[in-house]
Amino acid sequence: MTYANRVRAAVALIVFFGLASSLHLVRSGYVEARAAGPGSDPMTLFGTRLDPMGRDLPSSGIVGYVTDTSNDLQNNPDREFIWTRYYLAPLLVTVGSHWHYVVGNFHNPVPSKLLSDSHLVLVRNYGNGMLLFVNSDQ
Amino acid sequence: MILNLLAALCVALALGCAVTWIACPRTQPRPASALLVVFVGLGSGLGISSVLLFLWLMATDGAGKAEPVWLTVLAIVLAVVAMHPRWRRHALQSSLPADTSRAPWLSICSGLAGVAAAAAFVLMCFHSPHGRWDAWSDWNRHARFMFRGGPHWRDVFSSAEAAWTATYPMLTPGAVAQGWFFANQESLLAPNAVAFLFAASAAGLLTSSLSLLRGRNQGLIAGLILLCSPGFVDQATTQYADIPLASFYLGAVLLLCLHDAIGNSPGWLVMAGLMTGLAAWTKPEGLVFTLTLVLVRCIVVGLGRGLKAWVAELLPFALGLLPVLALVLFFKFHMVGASSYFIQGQTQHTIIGRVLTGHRYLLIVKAFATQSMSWGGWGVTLLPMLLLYLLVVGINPNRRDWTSIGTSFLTITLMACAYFLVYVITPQDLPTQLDQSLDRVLMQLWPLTIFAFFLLARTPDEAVQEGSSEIASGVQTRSATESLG
Repeated sequence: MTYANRVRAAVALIVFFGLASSLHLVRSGYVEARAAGPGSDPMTLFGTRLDPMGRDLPSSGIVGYVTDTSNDLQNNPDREFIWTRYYLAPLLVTVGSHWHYVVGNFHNPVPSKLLSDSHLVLVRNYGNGMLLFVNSDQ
Repeated sequence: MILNLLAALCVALALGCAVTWIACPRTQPRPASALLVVFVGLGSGLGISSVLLFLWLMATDGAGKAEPVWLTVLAIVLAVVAMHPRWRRHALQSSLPADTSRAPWLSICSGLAGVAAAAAFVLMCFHSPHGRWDAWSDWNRHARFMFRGGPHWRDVFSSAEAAWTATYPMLTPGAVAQGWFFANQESLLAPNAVAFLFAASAAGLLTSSLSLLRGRNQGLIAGLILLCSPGFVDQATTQYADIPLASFYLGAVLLLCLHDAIGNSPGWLVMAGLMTGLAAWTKPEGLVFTLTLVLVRCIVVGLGRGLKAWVAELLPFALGLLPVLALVLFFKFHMVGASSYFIQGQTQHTIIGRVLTGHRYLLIVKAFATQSMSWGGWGVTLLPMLLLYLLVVGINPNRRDWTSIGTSFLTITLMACAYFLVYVITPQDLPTQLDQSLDRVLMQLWPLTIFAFFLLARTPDEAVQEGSSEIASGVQTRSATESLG
């Protein structure tokens, strides 16, 4: 093989492997898109759950957040907490019940001990585990 | 709403192109020259519009509704100024090599790679329209504060948020919020469009600049490699700021290289300074890049042409850099506090303890090596393949390119060393941190690495001609007409 042909072959190999990789990427993108089309991804669905509560909250300030999905949100925030902060911005959402308004996000029945210990009073149940409380001490 | 979003992007593009057109000299009447203005204009326009939105919100205490009107007026005025014959007159006789290389099949393949990358981006956005973790927790959330917050837009930097919010600069949130202000409503199209445009800007900058500096085929191969890197497209869809940062790194270095190749005009340097400043306005790593680039130019230009030449180029560079850098420093010291995420809460003793722990170095070297060997996400290991390619085509023989090659490679090396050092002293769990961030951090340098590689490599056309002329030495000059196509 002449030198010129070796150079052409090197370029052709780069192009071939590049395009093969592109094809693979498009295929996996297609598979992903089919798995969860627009509007059906978990974050959008969570936003739909949270939306009615957002309308009842003040537009700024700080609210608390309690949940049953994690014991250590302060150090290991779960994605639903991060999503809540994202959706309710510019309201600041912080872990704990030491604020007047407290957002509750539960996947199991609400532990009554939590409510009594934290002096939380239910304001409204939006369904799907979304509850709005006020802290009677704040 | 879509039309209004398009208007926002067009205004940013017009703003950036006008500034680039006014500052940079024309090179040659080649498509690559026009494309370079467009892609430099795209990145810088999104950056400038983000800076102006931030300043507007500062001045009006968060009342941003009227800002799009003023931005549009500014873009129109600058576009009119740019169309003045004065700016056409400063076209100069270019010292860039004439480019006669044509390989239609390569153009077609690069086009296909572009279409495939765009299609993959759109499909992945259907799956994750909100981007990923940092987009929800920082970038797009900050954009929501800018758009929704009114007088409370700065609450995101309040002490109540200190434990949660990274004090990142605001280029990406500003670019997203700018789209929302134009549309007067929030839409997921804005962050996705911004992510797409920065990725397109990186690919376009790479292709057009190498087309000018090293010939069209070289530019097309480089662009194809970037667009065919699944990691690059995947990172773009996360809506993080790493791809915008990569785009600004590349833009700053390639503008310096164009200055080295063409010379005679400080315009390239002003724009390089602006791109560097915008990198610092994108992520904290941009500040490290700023210091690195100044140091690299001091070494490369100082050694090659003397310190006087370095000082002479530093002045126009600073003219582009300082306005944005001043804003970054104001933001860092006045709005969010100067503490760094990596040294916050650490004593000198703990930092020295980490520096002296050999095990950490081993972990980091192993992670860097693992990433490098699987880099690119191609079916084959990309880096050895590129080295093999370099062995076949050979090294760029033009001595005039060595300042540019030195600048590019030294910048990449020093930035990689800086990232390495950050991992050494990080207070976070090292394996977790490496696992979560190393691919993103290396992706910031990937477009610049491809640029440097193809500056260093001989072009296929040079290699083919050289090979042919060696075989037919003294007999024929058929090599002059032979090319890749």
